[in-house]
Amino acid sequence: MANQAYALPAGADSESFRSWFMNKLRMGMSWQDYGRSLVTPFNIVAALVLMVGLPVIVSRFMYGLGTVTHASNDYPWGLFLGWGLFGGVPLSATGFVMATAYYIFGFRRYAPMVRIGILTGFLGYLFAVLYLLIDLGRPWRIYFPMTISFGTASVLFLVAWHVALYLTVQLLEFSPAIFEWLNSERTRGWAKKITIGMTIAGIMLSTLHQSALGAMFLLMPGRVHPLWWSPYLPQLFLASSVYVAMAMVIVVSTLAARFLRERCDEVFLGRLDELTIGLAKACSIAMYVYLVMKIISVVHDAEWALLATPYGYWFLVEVLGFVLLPALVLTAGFKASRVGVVRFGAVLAVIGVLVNRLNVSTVALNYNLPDHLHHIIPPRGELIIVATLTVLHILIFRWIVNRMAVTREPPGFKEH
Amino acid sequence: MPPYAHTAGNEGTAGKDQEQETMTMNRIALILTASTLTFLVAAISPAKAQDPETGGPATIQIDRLVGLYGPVTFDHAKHATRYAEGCGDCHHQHSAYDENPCKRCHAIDAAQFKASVKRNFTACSKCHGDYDVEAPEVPDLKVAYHEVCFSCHRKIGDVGTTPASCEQLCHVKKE
Amino acid sequence: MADKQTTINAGDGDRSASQTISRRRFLCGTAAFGGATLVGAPCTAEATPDLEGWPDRFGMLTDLTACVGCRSCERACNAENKLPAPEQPFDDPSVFEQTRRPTSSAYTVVNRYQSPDGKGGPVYRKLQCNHCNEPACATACPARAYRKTPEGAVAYDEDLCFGCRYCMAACPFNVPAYSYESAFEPKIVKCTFCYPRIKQGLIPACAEACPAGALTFGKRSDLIKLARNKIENAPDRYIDHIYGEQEAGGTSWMYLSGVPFGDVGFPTNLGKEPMIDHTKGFLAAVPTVLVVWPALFGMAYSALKHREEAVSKENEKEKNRG
Repeated sequence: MANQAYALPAGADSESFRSWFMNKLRMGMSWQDYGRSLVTPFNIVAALVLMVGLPVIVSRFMYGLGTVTHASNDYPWGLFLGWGLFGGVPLSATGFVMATAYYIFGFRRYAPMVRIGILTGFLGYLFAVLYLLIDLGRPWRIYFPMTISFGTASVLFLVAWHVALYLTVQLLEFSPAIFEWLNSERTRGWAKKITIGMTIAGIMLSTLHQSALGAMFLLMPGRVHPLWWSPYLPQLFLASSVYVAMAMVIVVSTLAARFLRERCDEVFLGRLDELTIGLAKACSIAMYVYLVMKIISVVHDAEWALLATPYGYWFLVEVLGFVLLPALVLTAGFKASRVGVVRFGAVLAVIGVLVNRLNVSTVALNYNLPDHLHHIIPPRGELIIVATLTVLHILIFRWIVNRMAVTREPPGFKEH
Repeated sequence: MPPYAHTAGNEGTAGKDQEQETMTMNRIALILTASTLTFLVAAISPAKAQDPETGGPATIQIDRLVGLYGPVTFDHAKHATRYAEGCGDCHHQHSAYDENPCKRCHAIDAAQFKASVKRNFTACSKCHGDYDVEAPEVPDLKVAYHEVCFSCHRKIGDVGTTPASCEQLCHVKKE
Repeated sequence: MADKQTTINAGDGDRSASQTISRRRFLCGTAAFGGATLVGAPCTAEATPDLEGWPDRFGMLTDLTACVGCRSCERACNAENKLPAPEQPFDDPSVFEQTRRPTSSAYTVVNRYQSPDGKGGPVYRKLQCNHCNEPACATACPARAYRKTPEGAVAYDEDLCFGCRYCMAACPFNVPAYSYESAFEPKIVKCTFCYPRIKQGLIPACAEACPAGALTFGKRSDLIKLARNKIENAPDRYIDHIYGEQEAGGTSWMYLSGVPFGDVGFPTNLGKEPMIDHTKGFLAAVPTVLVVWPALFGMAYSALKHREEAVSKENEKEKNRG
């Protein structure tokens, strides 16, 4: 595929800017070529999903939440928040972890992973907001806690502010890549200058809102199963977000190297394995720390007896099968320098955090209501919308990586 | 009213006697008729009928606060004679709820004390009027009726335990 | 700071023993573990003192032993708030076959339970917003759409609500309902304590309608005295407990019952502290992080820069030498 994306247009002026921009959008190809390039098996499946899902999303807004959710008063939250917000946000901690590692702690050799981490994080938060807009009863009022009325006693108030601020921070952290694509050297220079400040702001914001998502459940001790409710929920959520960020970087970089190979440069591809193993080491240590915290949370309320109940067995599956096991796999992988093993461990770790977030927000919440397990089965509307937004997420990620320097160094610009 | 007593020692002369006797006879007849009529009238009008044993009303029509149901006919005589151990079981002014100061129902003046309470029994509504939030221990009239009835009836059958029982003994739905 | 003792009673089968936890002692000991991320953890949670403001606020005493299940309260609430007519009329006893909960068209419902020991008739329980002293819903709402009024009612303002439904998840009594069926004006629906009426000096519609004396409206402090008197005067009739006096920090609606509360649908695993106490500790840590993190990581960055400059100076020296 011709990569004339970064060539400066000859004699660029405002009239030819539009044609230059349209040219950039289709990456230097003619309209015919671009159109033909879009017809791939994945794209066809994606188009089908969108054709089904987008009308469902429209109907949610036209006819109300009752059309796509269980409309339950006992179960106010479903997959949109369980998957999109509580699940999506820790998986989007990649930005803050990679940026901190590189810019603050000086792990310079991870340079190739920084941008993909930031992009993953940015899109993750963007989609968390999209899920929120779909889930809120009156989404046009989403700015109310920002400007109209402040519920400062609420942890969700903190989450709302932080997600909004952090989305901005992530956009600014990613903006150098955008300005490179648009060939604006000066603006890019400005964006690079604020990187350190944005990174530090990002650490602070991330620490608070990752733990705040856990703190949200502190308010409902009677309604969340005691094995998952703990006064340490904020710390547990924060710790798991840190380790899953590293696992997620492994997963996403692997997928990018596999499916967007032509967009990756030799530096990225050449060092991917070595960096993957390095991340595995750090990730596994973070996972062992998390495991100890989990044990403490069980010990703290003397809940050993609960482990022998059906919920207890599921708790053990989550902790042993989806935290301890991936930690051991990652350890084995980096000790033996086997990237494949590490990647498997990383996938398990990511699934494990999703399982944990869904457990806390959906399975353990309302555990003592009659017929509980029947009620938490998601309705068709929620599943369709989640599938649609996931496809959209992938498409947007791919669109950006195809055009901007995420998995490669931008030609003509100083790196970092 | 006892039959008129025959006053002794009122016999006079024959001629005058005869006139006097006729007058007396007429008087007796008049009084007998009046008292019979009074008795008959009293016997037919149920609300005012007196229960000879207790002196209270025989039945009472409770028709204040009518809502979903029609008026309730309460057999006061039966309850007063057969079921209550004493008037204070229902008319509880002087029993468990006697935090009321005397002057709430009685005049302070000793001469008027006893007479100041109408017929010695205060109507329920005198204390159980409009609900006062400052005195939550005093229910309003509708609740007072039900609470006093339920104090015995809850133990009999399922009255006061299911809504269907409301119509078993007391209430009749309005159409 | 006083050492906080919390007694948590679990009554739903998973835990049978009540536990006394000396939270501060244990947690402060383990807070040292793990470093910075444990800063500001539950160490700062304290027992909230009794709500001192508004001593004249109202309450409602519900006597479950008096309720006959006539649902006059539901009927009156429906009429007062102009709610839609229910699918099953108010005199249809078949509704009792299921355990219901408040919905977007029913602020309150009455449920029937069988007497646990088999003797005695059915027990009825009226369920509605309990207008807590320190409501979890008000704590949860990020837009401050709930407020505790001086009269005791917890008032919801639909003009501020954007529909996150955190209040529905937070309420320990599972009370708020949501009008999901509305596309453009969905809102939370719950008992209002007839706030407009009590401001005018009237009493809530349900209390006025109840014929059996199950609902007594008055000042919360008076009702507690009344409830204690009732228990004292009839110890065989009542369980010696006023539900709502202290649960979750105390509620405006309080209950007396002749059967254990857990057997008639009341949550029994609520401690005495209001829900807000559980998140105070976390929120208290926020200003610390806001200030300390930038300083901490700013220093780390400075150290990094310092190190890298030193290394590059070394390299230059090497180059110049060689």
